[in-house]
Amino acid sequence: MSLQNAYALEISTSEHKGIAIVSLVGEITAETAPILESEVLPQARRFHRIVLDVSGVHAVSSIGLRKILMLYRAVKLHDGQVLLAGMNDALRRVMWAAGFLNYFIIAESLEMALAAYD
Amino acid sequence: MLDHRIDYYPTHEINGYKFRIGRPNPLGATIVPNGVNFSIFSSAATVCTLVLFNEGEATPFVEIPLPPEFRIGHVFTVLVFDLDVESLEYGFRFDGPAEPQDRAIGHRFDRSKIVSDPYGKLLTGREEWGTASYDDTYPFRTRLIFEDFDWEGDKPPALPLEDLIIYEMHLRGFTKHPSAELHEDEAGTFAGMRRKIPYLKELGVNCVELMPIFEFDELEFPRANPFTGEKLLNYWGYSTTNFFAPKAGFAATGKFGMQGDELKALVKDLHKAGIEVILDVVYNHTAEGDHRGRTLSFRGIDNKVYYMLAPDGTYFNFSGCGNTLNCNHPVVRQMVRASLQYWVSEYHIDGFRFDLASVLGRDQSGHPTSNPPLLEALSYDPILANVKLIAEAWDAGGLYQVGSFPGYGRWAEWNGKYRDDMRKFLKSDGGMVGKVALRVQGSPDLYEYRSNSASINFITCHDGFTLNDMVSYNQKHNEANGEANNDGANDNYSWNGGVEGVTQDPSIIALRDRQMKNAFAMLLTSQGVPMLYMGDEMKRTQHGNNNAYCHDTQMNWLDWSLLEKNEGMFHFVRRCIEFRKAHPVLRNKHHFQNKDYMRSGKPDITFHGTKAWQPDWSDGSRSIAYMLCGKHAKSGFLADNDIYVAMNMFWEPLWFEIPEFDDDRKWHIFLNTGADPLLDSFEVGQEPVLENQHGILLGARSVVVLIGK
Repeated sequence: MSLQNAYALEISTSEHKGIAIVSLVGEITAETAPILESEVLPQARRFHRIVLDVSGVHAVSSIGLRKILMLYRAVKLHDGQVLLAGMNDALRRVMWAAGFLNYFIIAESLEMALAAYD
Repeated sequence: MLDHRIDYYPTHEINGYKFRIGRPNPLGATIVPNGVNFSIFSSAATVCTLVLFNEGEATPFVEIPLPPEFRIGHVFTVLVFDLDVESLEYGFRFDGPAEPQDRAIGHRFDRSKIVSDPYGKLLTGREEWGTASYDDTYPFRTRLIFEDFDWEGDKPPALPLEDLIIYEMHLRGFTKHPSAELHEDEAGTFAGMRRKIPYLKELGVNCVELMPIFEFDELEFPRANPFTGEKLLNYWGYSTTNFFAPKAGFAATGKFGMQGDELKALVKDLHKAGIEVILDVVYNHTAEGDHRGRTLSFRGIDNKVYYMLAPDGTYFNFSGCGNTLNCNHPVVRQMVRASLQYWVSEYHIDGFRFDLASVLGRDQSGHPTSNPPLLEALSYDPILANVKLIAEAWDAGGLYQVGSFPGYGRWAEWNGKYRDDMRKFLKSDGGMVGKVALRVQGSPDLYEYRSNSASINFITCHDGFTLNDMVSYNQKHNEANGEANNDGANDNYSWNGGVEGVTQDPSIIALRDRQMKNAFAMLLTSQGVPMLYMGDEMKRTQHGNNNAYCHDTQMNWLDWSLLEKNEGMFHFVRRCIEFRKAHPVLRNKHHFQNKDYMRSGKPDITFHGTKAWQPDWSDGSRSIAYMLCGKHAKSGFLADNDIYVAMNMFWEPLWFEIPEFDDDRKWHIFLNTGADPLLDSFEVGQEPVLENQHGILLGARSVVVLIGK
């Protein structure tokens, strides 16, 4: 499944051995965040583990950061895990500074993330 | 469920924005189901208009003049539905009387300005340090905050006050210097400080006191450095624009509006490292200045309530900064309390140091009162019950209350007399020995009915010379501040050792190093609560500037390369801190009784001179020694070693006879500032035995600390 809204965020979701894989390409901003919420939160309810491939994300706003945090909360509610794959340096630093990088499992790439789960 | 509640439904609409009367409590903006509740106090406004913006936009998307029935008493309140809480910025316009046109003495309403909410929790406008985001119509905008931080069970360390070792520091200055070697986004931020927690742990301090981190306007000064032409900034930040909002410009994530999260992450990690966080808070005035100042918030909301005014409507200036917050007015008192409660409950802050706290004891006409309602309220506030309250017990209106600040058994004080007396003693002034004996005991002369922990002992702080400058300059050198060297204190009790400023003379350099070590040794063995100033442990200099409030330059930023250059000083201080932490006899809560109430064979404290048991109290004396009995540690509840401290501030070496043990214990040397700098202090537990158990030669201007074991 692949979705693109009017504001430059492409979301595709798939499943691999009981793990939800959500790939994001574009920007997570005030305009695109709602679709992130509506597409990804249902995955969080269905799957114990989610890999969020953010290697294609080149900009994140404060609202985008909050949505990523919200996703973590939703998954944590049923003891799930969120793995962030392919974060760029800027995103990693901002998430560290805001104090929530350590909530997530981090992998350099989607391949490495899946390998970690295999 | 909520849809069935009748109060869900709006009653009014403007341009498609639906609203209804709100709830007056709590004041401020509160996210509620389906909307945001706004509530703001003004006793004299005629009309209140809520002004709403989308993040960063120059013009509001709607202005809502509140109908008269939306006013309950002196509170305007409205609940607006279906707002995007993530991107909302809000403010208010107030109509009302303004002098001189309306002959309304004291009122300064101005409907052309949009003012921020005094109870706002985030403020935009200075998201990036030194950069203004908006024009003057509404330069500082209030925003909503999301209180959803995951503290992961954080609990404050709750250290007893007398066990604290405080490190006073400037948030930006700590990591802004390039030598801090941080990513440029993190330099000078909460995140940057978080990177440096391992350093604080290594140094051993267990409390940091952050100079102001509430929102302030660093761009408020019009002046420039007369030598370099650089714009002078309000670098220190003793000029609050909002009492609830952390400074966005101190956050790497300020441009994301996540400064609250970033500060919380810092506090959480400091607590994990066993380090408490005290905030230096400025409730004596605001950034709005005097009659020439700007209308940012309070002045345009209710000038006569928020500020102390003279009968002719001009501002009283007990703060020395243009205005004085009217903090004993019940409405203002409520705000100050709410602010402090918020920092404790939402940010897990462990204590507060109140800038010019004597202002807080003045009534609404400016007269000092013996039972000030604000101080009493704070002392007995249930949410503040376990936090440290520390007063800077003087103000700019001439009130000096060190030892007499209304403390209700709760307050500690910055002990300005400790600083002055120890400085005079350090530079070999006569007639100081008796006073020094009191200061090292926790100043029982000042705090007789309180405890040692009422005394925050310090020799240097942000106000005045750094320690290195205290031993390098006789005079202040503040020309770069642009006030012809007229600003800053003149009574520094400092001594340069023979040459003003930088010197290559090795004997003067050695003397200065020894004097700095003497100061640290005295401070960290004194009863009371020691406070160090950032960088003194690595000999930071401001080149003789003793009032560096306005320089956002390397003069103020901590140069981390000093750590390597002055490694010896760092390790000396680190060992003194470790020694203090290892020995509870140095950290008594209660004053000494000068009695042997533990039947150990000697009193809790005894004084000595060059002859044991015979202190020389004469005016000509410049040396004194004392011995602490370990069996009396923590009023006898803990067993510790005996400790002997000798201070020779005479300019010649003196032989000190030392009290002898009547058992097989021996004196060991913890430090001797007169010894070779490579061997002048030792790690705790590795103190070498003193060869001659009968006495020790103290070099000119030096301190010895011995431990009996």
